[in-house]
Amino acid sequence: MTSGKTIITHKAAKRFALFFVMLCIFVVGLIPAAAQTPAICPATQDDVNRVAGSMYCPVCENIPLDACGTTTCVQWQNEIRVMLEQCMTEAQIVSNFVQRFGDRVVGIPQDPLLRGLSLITPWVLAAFALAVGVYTFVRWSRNRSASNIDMPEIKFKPAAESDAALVDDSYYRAQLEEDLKRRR
Amino acid sequence: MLAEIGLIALLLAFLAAVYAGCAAVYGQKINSEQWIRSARNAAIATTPLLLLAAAALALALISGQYQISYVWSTTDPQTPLQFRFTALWGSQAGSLLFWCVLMSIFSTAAIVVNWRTHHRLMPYAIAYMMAVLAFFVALVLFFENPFERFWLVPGSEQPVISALSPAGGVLPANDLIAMDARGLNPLLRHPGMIIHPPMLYLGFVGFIVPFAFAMSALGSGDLSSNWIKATRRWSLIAWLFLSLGLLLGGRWAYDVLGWGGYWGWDPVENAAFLPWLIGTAFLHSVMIQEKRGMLKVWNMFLVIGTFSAVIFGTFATRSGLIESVHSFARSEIGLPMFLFWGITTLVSVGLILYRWNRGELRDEHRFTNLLSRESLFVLNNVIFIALTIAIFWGSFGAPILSEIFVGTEITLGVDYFEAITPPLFIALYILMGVAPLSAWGATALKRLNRALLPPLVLTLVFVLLIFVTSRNDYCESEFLLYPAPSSAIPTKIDPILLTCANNLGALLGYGLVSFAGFVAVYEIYRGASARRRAFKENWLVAVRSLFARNRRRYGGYIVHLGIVVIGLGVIGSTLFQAETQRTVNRGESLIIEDYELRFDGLTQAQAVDGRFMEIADVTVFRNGSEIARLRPRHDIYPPRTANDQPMTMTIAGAHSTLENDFYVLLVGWQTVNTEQATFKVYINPLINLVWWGGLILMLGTFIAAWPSETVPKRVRAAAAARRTGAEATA
Repeated sequence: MTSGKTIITHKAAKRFALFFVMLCIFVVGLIPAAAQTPAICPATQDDVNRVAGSMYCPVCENIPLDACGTTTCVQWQNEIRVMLEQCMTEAQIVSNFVQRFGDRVVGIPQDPLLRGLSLITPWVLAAFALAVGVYTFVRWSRNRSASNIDMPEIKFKPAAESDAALVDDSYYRAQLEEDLKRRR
Repeated sequence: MLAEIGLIALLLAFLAAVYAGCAAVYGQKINSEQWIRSARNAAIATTPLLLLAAAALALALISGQYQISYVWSTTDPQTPLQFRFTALWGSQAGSLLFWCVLMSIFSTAAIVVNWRTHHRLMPYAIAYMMAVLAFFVALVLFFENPFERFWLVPGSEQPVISALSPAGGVLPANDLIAMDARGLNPLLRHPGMIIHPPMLYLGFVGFIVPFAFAMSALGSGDLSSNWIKATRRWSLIAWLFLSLGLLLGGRWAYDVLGWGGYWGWDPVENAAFLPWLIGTAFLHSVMIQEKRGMLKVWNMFLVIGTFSAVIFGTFATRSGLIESVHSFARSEIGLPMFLFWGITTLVSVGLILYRWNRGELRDEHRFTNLLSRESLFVLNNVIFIALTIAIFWGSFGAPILSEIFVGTEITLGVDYFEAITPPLFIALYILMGVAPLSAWGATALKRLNRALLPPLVLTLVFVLLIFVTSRNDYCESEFLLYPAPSSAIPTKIDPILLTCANNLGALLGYGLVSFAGFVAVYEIYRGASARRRAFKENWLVAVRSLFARNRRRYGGYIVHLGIVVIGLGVIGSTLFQAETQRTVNRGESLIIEDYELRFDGLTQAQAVDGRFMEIADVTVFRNGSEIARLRPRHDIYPPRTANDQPMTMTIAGAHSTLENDFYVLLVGWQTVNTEQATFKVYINPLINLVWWGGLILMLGTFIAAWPSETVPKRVRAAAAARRTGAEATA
């Protein structure tokens, strides 16, 4: 009987120890989980699409993430949802993806140098084109002023009439005559 | 047999093009009319030969000759007839052949039409056109041959693909090889694909004519406006086809790609848009050369730039340089195309500089005033070029340079283009309004102001009408017509303020765009009323006579109206697009603005071509009244081999009105009991104006390009009467 009791006691002690260990594991596991418990920010699919709309997955062919149906894109959309539910802002989410996958995932690079070069270069080139246009115009105007000194003033006439009067085609006529002579 | 016919025709076409180019150059060099005629005949012969090659391939596609590798890779026994035909341009090799056919048709037409009138330019024009054609036919023959076949060769387990029979090679049984034929890419199984690629290709290859004539002018030294007179109509026709190609491409993307939009600033879309932009600048500036003998060098640069953009776009799309849903697979033609593009552009620019240095491209007139039509046209050109630079930079320049020099891959997407291009488009619309009211030579500011007044008043009335009818939707009320999505996510800008700014921006945009439209209408009204006063005609006759007497000018105004209508559609559909995505049970509804979508059920089916379809039945209500029943669906194309993945297409259901499109996509569904489905719904305001604007643009271009009588009817009648009188007297 005693030995039987002892056996029961041993069994109970073992069960208790097991229960205790499991409880400890559970509590230890719970502590970081509790520390990480997200503040609940409900996010709809529309919110996910709004963030995904300005992103691109590296393997898809220039299709925005919200319109892309590949497995990778769906995984990324789910990831965005999780981040939104953790109350991350759109900018934070985009930065997170850029850090992990590079500037290729956004429509305009986040890197300040690349961003600056991307946005400023076309305006610089356009300004250059405009400067060339203005320079040409100014040069033309100067030439006109200079030529006005030597040349008699030409009265403005309707386009067709004035063209016919002003275009000197003697060179072409001479060349045509020459061509006709030479042609076999 | 068809493969042999196609191959021989292709080879003969190549030889004919090479011969034509060489004979034209030699004939010009020794001034031999016989050689030049021979060159012309050889150039014309390329058309039937290439048509024969294309017909052979089309017949092979229709009759299912799967031993031809191209037929095997683009069709299968289930492919319907219309898609067997469109498979002709459904892949790289066939589309290159089709490209050659169109180019040779354009070249032949230009040679025949201009043979007498611009005879002096013809040897050079033939040489340039045939050089380009020979290059493209060579690509088809030596790099992307659509007549290559499968051969069973002793000692080889896999069939060998070759155009010519290898030693001991035999053709496999057609029925056997048909079993695992690939079929046409599902993205291309759309009615739009029947007409979109031909239009785009016609637009691309059409610009070969102005390019060849410009180069002829540079080569021959005939730098008068003859080349422009010879090519004016050709440029307009090419521009029309390119415009239609772009619009149809947008429509295809809207219907097939399932993202609710029509223009995604994708590199391939942009590659086709670049020649359109430079070509449009050319169509405007060429008028200055015709009217005032100015901008000769600039026009040369523009026409060469347009063709160079065409070749670059073709290279970018077909070489694998860029990845896109529109592009072809990576190919070996990249290097030869890049070399051809570089050489063509360098030679062309070199010729311009040569003539320029010799002083042969001197302008006949000078700019007289900043407020003249020519000055405004120059400004318009600068903006077109700025747009070209910005779009080229975003699509190709920045991504390629950043990868080469910084080692970082970047994508400049919609955000970039929406940040850079709107100010430039706004400037273009303002110029579109002001330039037609200014005069050639010089415009007095007072006169210009007087002319601007009526369209400005009309614009103000129009903008006020929009503002008054939707006043609550702007900044004064919380009840915004197009509210920003309700969200708990913190953003930097207050959504209401953002929407308010959006709406005010749209109001400004509508004003600027409509101003250009009112100017076009006012100019037509002014011309017609002048005729009414002078000739006592009624309105209809006055307008008809006005268009008949100056088709180009008034056709141009109709084109402007088309661009205005497109602009209104773009503003509405871009700034006010609303979207939502929800999962609903059968019988439940989702609500967006004043629309309600009820999910009625989901059915599954299999089409005759083997694809599986998941079709959702939905009913759309507006303010409680039923307006449409739609069937958005998913098409799933099963994989052909164990290594393939199934391909899924999302086909939208749309209820279209002039006001907006209710556009619904089936995004997901429950596979077990089909009781639940996820829908993505878009409201696209004014989107149909984009397509209607395209039709107006087409009408305007037809009017502008329609040939005018060289000798007016009344003059011809008078001459005939004189002849009859003289004969009677005799």
